[in-house]
Amino acid sequence: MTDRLEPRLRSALGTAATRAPQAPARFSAEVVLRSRRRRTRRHALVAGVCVVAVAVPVAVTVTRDTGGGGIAAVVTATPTAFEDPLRNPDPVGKRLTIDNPSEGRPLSLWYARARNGATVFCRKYTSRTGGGTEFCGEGPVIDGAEATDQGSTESFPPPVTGKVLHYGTAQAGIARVVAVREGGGRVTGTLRTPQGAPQAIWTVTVSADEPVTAFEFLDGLGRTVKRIERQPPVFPETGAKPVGSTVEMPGGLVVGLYETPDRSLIWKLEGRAVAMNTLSPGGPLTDMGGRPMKAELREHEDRWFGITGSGTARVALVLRDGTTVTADTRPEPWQAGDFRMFAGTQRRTDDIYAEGFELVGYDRDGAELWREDHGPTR
Amino acid sequence: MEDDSRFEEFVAERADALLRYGYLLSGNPHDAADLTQEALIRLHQAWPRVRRKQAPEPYVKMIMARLHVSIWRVRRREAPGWALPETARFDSPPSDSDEGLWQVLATLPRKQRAVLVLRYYEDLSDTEIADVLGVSRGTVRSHASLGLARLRSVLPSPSAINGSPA
Repeated sequence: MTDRLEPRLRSALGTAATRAPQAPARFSAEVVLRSRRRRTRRHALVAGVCVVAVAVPVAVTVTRDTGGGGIAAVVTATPTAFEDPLRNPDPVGKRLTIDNPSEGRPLSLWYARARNGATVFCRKYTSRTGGGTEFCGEGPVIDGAEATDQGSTESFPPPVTGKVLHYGTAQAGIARVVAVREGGGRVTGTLRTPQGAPQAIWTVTVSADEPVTAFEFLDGLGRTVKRIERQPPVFPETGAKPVGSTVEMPGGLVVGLYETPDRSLIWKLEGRAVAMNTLSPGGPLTDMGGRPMKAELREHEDRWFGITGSGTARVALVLRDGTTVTADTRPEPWQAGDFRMFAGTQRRTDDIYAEGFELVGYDRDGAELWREDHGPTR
Repeated sequence: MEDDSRFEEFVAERADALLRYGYLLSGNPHDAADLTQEALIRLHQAWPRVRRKQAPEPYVKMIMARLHVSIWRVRRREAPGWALPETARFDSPPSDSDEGLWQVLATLPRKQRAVLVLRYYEDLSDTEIADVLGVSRGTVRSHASLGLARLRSVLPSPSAINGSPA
């Protein structure tokens, strides 16, 4: 029986495979764009991602502040020299550069014209660690739409600042934008029209702990012109259970191993995820360029923590004013890779990347093994 | 940029094959598209490391299989970036036998179905299937055995379909 069933199974699967959907044109470019947007959400945690230089002469914008945003706005007057003309179409109007509340670093938003004539939305995102991404397109079609939702800074774990920025486009008739939150609360945003831009750009800043479920766009008379329902992103890591036991670390941190299905360490504080180290594929301690790293540092408020090579017994954080704090490393109990874990606290700043620091690794005898200089990122 | 170029080359060459694999795993074109897109996004994010340490195709197939059998259905993330055709595309009309078997496959638990697809479409050994799904070889054999038994119990024999005695 098995002899007959198996060839039938092969035949049925082979036949069924011919009914599979086919990839559309430019599918690969679409995947890359979506990947970049997700990487942006994840805050470009690992420094070293290429950032295009930005010229930032300040100019005045036409601003319609509707009361809730309160974010200082400046606009770049000079278009950036794009890396890849296929992916970065010609800008239309000036850039809007704001203080990204999720990172405490600049975020630029602007319009551009695609080769097919469509208007697309572009963003340049800079993380606290100095990494960043820049890309155009992918969001909902702008042309003909009264308003669109083009993205947010939502991520897992949530931004260290506890704030999330949402942004999008709005036609001239829109006078007010409101974010509706899961619990029913409403937050009013800000509309700004950069010089030469075809439409306004709206932004809303909300707390990261209560997702936005809809955006409402109102005209000058307070009438709702458009409502965009929104499904908050669900990150597989959010409800995942740890594999094996968790480890209590200094500063109240608890770290566990998770498979979602990539293997990750998730660091929690009072039950809430605050940071993550990705272990697979390729193993821990490799950056996004595939290069080996001495340590993968994470931070949350006054805590600094992460993983380092198995030969490192102690890690020191040397802040710019000379303040030095150290943390002994501990073995990982899951046999998940060749690394040790560390965690410590410092009281000097809530943004160690802003002014820069050094990270130093020592062996069991106190001899220096490695030293990393992290320059200021603000 | 060079990495992105190589990634796009890989997707251009293998996207249709991955969609076929996703279709067999999931049983419908929409989940196939979701599954393929999600796995390729993950591959892109890990591309430098995957290229250096392992072949990208096994990696992306491993991600697709594990997503499918574990968390995929309850945690769909993003709608696919393209509209699927309304009707299925037939290169050749399926036989009654093939169609019947395909329908019974749809009733199998996800892990059993994944094991059968990996064994009879991807032609992987049980050890390779165990690596793909992150389970033991014994578990693979158990799922394969249960899946085949289910097919045997439900399907008429080919001779019955053809109207002749076995």
